[in-house]
Amino acid sequence: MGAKILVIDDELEIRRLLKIGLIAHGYDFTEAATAKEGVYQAVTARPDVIILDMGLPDQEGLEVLRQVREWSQVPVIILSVRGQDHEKVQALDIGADDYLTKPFSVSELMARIRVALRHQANVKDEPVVQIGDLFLDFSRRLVKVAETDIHLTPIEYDLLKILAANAGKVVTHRHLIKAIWGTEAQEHSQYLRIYISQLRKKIEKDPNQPGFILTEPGIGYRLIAME
Amino acid sequence: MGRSNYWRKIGRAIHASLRIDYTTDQDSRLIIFSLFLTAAVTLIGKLYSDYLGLTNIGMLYLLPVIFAASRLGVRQSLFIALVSVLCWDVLFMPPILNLAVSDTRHLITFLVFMMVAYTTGNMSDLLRCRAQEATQREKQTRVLYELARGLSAAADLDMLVSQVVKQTAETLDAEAALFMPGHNGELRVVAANKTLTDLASSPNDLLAAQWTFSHSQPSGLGTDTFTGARGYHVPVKTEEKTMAVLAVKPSNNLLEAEQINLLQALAGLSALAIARLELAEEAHDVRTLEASERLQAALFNSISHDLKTPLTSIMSAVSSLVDDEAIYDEEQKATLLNGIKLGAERMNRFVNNLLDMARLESGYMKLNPDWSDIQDIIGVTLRENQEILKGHKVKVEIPDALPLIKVDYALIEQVLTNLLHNAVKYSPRHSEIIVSAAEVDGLLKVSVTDQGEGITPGDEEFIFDKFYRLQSPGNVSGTGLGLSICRGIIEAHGGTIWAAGQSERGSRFNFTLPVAGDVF
Repeated sequence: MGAKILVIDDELEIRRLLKIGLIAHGYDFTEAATAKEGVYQAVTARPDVIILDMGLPDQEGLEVLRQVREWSQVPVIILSVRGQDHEKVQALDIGADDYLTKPFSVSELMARIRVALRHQANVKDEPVVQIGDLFLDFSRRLVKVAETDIHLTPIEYDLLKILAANAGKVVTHRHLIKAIWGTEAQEHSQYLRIYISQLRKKIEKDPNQPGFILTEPGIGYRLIAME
Repeated sequence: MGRSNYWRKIGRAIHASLRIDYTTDQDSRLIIFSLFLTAAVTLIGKLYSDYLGLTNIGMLYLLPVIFAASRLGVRQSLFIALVSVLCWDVLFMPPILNLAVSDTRHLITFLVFMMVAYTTGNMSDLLRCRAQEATQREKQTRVLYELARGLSAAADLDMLVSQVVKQTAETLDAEAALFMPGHNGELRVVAANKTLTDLASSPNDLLAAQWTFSHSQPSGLGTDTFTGARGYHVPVKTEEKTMAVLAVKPSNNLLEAEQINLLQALAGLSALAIARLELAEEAHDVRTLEASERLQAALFNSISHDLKTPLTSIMSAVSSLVDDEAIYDEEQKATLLNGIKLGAERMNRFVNNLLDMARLESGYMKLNPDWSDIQDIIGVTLRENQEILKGHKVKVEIPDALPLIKVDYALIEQVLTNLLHNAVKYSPRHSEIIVSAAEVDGLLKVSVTDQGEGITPGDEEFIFDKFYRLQSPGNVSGTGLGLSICRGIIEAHGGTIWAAGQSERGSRFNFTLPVAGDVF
């Protein structure tokens, strides 16, 4: 049996479809329809990844996340509907690993699960990362695109490093600002936009349609993962 | 002066004794003058009695009678005739100083005297009456004309009722109030001139007004219904129905017949004016209702079409796969499955637009502005819509170092998405779509240009109206919500959005957003 996935969602149809998809992809499936049952399952079934719907009938999904995070670092992927950006950011800030907006495709979900499992299994930073043409060697502070050396400023380099350490996962604006400027002050938000823009100009083939650093509107950025 | 006053008083006293209520100074002077005339005739008759003879003196006595009859009324002339006959009989006819008449033929003369006085006086009375009526009518006409002018200028009911009350109060020198039924059907004062505290608050008057309203007949002061009311209540009615009650309380608590006539005319005129306004309002309501019903019908048609089209493609593909899976090869299955995916995506887009529209309409849409890079927004939009844009060549033209903007990222993305969908919808496959951004006059300007059929000249403004496309023929699907949502979002950001037909072909949609100050 593959990794055990716990799906906490009150919609029977969604649980049923995810069950088919997950089992077909070789995962072990458990489910819960309420927040209370979800927390119980998280404790007893010991899943490797939790897929958590934000709108549960008995409790906020956020509350489930808080309770799970009190004792476990199991990866949690949030399911939410469009327009709940604020809650998504909140969930990511209190420890959710990633999010998906309904309606989503199962293949997208599978990719997120794979990334989550990889980070779970191997949390130590890999010194060398290769994503398509992009080559990063953090032990030598080296960045190459298509075999060409790229010169980055210290902040650009730090940004890329944080994104690469979380490759495939969304990194929130707040997380990046805190890691780089050591503050939660949101006035750095505009600097972040500008450094990302500069970084893209240096590493992206077409900065108008970035292929490495993707924007997650209202949430943060995601460096694509090498599958 | 003192002497003329004295005579005037006597004149008034005579009029009073003749039971004539209404006397002018002129009338008083004329009656005294007639008496003088009688005295003068008596004097002349006494001096020249032998020369004139009894009959001629009698004739002379006719002069003051005719004078009084022509200038005054029938009662005055009869009075003068009586005085003249007495003078003639007592002072001239034998036996002198005696009322007795020796020759009974003279009685015929007396009778003629009286008949002359009566007939002439009556005629003069009639003339005076006519003249008075004419003056009255003129005054009434003037008042009604004034009111009609005031009422026709009134644009709404409030203005109208205050006009009615004002004109009534001024014309009749009275307190005035207008009662109209409220929404609950109960009569209440809708307008009153400022002194009218009594009338508006007295329960008797409210009862009188209610009675007048339900019976369409006057009541209150001077009538035999609700005599306890302080005001005279007259219905404001057209032929069909009573619309209001006009109440007046004259300063001397007395209403002349002509004032009542005038009041009724005022009420009639007011009724017409109120009816006119009500009809205009009803007509307007009906038009609005019709328009909104048409819109609703069109909306339902369009929504059901927009939801059912993708639903149909999903259901037909799914049922093919479920029921006859065996007859399809892998490639056909993939096509069917892709059809399902596209249909679902289309429904999702449509539902998003509907939700945005509902948020915009209800004022629930809250902006969540954050520092954003327009290049980034454009990039995300193109990534999210790559399936739809696959058939077109998309070119992005963005200069280096554009300023950041502080906007709601997701909403601006929605605007760009809608504009891109429009471009795809209205331009041929494989044609070019250009997305460009530039800083112009301290604003960030974004344009989406296509090489499609363009915009009918003159339609540039209307295409942003909700459901505009519903009114235009064509087989392109969509509710026409997209552009109206774009406008709502851009305007909420303090920007503007407009369309321009291209010089060669195709159309260009532009929007501007304020630049949020320098960053460095």
